[in-house]
Amino acid sequence: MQIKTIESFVVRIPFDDDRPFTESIGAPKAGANGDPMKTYPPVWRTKAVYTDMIEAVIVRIETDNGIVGWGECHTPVAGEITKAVIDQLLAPVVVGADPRDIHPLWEKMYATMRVRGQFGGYHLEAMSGVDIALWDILGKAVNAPISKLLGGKIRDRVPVYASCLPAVGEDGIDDIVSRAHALIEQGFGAFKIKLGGKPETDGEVLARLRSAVGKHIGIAVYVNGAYDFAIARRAGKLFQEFGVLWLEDPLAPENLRDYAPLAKFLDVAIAGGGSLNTRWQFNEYLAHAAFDLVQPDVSRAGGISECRRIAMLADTYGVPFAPHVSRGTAIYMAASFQWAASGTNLMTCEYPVDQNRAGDGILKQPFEFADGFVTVSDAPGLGIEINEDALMQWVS
Amino acid sequence: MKIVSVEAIPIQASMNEVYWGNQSWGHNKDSEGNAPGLPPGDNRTTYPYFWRSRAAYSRTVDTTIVKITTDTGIVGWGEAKSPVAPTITATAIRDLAAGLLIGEDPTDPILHWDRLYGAMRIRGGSHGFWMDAISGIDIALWDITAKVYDLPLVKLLGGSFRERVTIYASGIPGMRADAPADAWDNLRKTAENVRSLGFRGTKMGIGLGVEGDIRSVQTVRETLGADFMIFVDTAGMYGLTDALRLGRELEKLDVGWLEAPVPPEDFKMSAVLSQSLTVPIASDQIFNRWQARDLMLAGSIDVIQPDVCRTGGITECKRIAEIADAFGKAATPHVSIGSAIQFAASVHLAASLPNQTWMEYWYGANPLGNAILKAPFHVEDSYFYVPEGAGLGIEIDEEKLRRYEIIGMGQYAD
Repeated sequence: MQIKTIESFVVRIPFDDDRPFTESIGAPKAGANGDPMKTYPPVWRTKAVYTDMIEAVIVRIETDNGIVGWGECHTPVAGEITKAVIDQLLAPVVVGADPRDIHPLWEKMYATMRVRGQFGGYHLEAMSGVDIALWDILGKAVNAPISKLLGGKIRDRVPVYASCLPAVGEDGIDDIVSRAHALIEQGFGAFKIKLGGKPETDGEVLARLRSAVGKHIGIAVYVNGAYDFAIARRAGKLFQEFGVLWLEDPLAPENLRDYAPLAKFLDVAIAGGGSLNTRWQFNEYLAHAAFDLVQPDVSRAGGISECRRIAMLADTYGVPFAPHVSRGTAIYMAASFQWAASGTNLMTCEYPVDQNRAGDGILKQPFEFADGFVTVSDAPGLGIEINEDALMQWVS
Repeated sequence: MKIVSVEAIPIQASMNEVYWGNQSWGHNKDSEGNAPGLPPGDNRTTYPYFWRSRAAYSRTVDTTIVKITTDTGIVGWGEAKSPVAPTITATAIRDLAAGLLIGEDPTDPILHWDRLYGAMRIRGGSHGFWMDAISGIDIALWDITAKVYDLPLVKLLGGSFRERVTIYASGIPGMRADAPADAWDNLRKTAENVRSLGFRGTKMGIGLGVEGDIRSVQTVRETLGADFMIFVDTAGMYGLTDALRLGRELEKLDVGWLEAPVPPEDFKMSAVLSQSLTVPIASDQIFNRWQARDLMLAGSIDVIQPDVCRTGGITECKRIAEIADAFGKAATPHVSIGSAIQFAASVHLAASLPNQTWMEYWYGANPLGNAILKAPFHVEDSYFYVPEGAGLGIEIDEEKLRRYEIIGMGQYAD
């Protein structure tokens, strides 16, 4: 079996709703945090660029015997860059190769730009999409879901949590409480909320949320690296009073040296890794006992091959994993679920709740979600069937 | 698909030679009653205390073969390393593991690894006979799984980095410094024979006193020339001072790695060695991935050598090799005495590793090697070719294998 063609597409898909849950994560603006240029830590440092669409790069690989594999790169903006990496750098590596030699192809793709400092970012996102497509092909070639090919299926259903309630000030708390109730109504037993403003204001939000949903609903807190070590200590102490599941990305990803003492200082679990790539980056954090929970992103950190290794490494350090799943399509979600179903140390899996148009909307059969779990498909490969017309209408 | 039976077959096969490890480090004594490596006379006065490092060896090839049968008729073969007393491992499989596996789906090997490991985890099952048993079962489950998908095992381990794996001939026993002249002639002849068989690398069993070790390696280096790869294994005989002294000399002799220079319980001395010597530090004393992680964190090792039949099978050895890779270290299967199943499982694993280096190969006349296969392995020019069929890619001649089965317990013959 040989790879005949590899194609990549940039897709831009509208959110379901004109008020997406992720609305608060945006370009720098004054607001709850005050003037972003005058606060400390500098808020603008943590303001990632987003657009008002769900953007992704889709990879389609076809073999000489007619098998089609799908992959996805987590590229929330400027997917044309990722597409160029795939078309110009990765395609020459994979075309003509046996698609079942996934790890050798991973190493070859990584080696193309290694000595030029491409340890993450667009290059790894591009590789991730190709890697997922290769696993999809292997699964289809042997008529088995990917979860079975990663050493076996550990579970039929993957626990998921709803992501993500937006950050609000005190005047938005009622709205957040009603959104949380809606998620519980849909069957979620846990959700994540974006915070990261003034810890005392965030504490108010958490206090109100906790009393509204009761003590059995899981609340995870994501602050997107908004703190320095001192603020993180204060915020963490405060938040852990409200029984939060974890504190995600409390510090900027560069501050590895503060993560370990923070994890030691706080009782609440320190989570992170959504922005990290490869086993080497994760191993540094794990070796320093920086994380209590790792959140590799299958479409960013290096695909299914690398995320399986990262989760296994974490397990060796006694640390669980929870796949990071943010803006993207059903391909990204399916890859996350297949990997999650096969990982011994899975805790839970992120489930974006405002993206049906990019999720079920491009599938012939929707994902099976009930009671806080996604049933992992036993169909071959990623276990999904793409409605190509529905997907391709969003190609830009 | 379900597992219908799990058989453990304890094996003792006679051979016409004394295994090289036994010659180097065994309990066997010479005609004057002295164990190798020990000065004649009162051997309890020497330091290091040699008896601590004398491993038990069998005069026969002893192992435990695992045969798992499924309701579809697919059969998987595995091997649990049992260099001595294979009935112990066989009993663990029959009395303990089989009950956990019958009725289960065999194509979830990692799930079963965790179930078996969990069964004895809090009783110290992370090392030793229970891990040997898990290893044999795990290999058989991977054999079945790959056969179900009609793939060579390597393709289920992420794919094939190479169609053939570079091997070294294991091994050449070293000499004590006071060995007689004809013994040194024999050493040269043994080395020449290894080269004449087509090998480009070998490993020497040393650890018989630093002077003897150095002279032994010098002799083999002179015999085989500068281009031949020579690894050495001291089986954990030395303390730090002797290991350093030996290591400095081995550097001059361009030795490929120094394996197990210090006792297997140690982390810190080997870290000092790795940071003091240019010769790479290797270890086959690997029992699970947590220990492997700690060795890596301590900087104790340059080349890790998990054993598929001892260190938790394909599942755990693959993980250990991947952990090593995350630390930038090399990995290669430890392959000592055992059957064709061990060789096949090891070569599939080796072919799947980006960080693979030379693989061990016992070049002796093995009654359980090609002799129990319907088609022989392809070994040529210091390469072991990965079998191409589904699963492990070998077909066992069960009738030939069963001729060596121990019927009844406790028939361990020294």
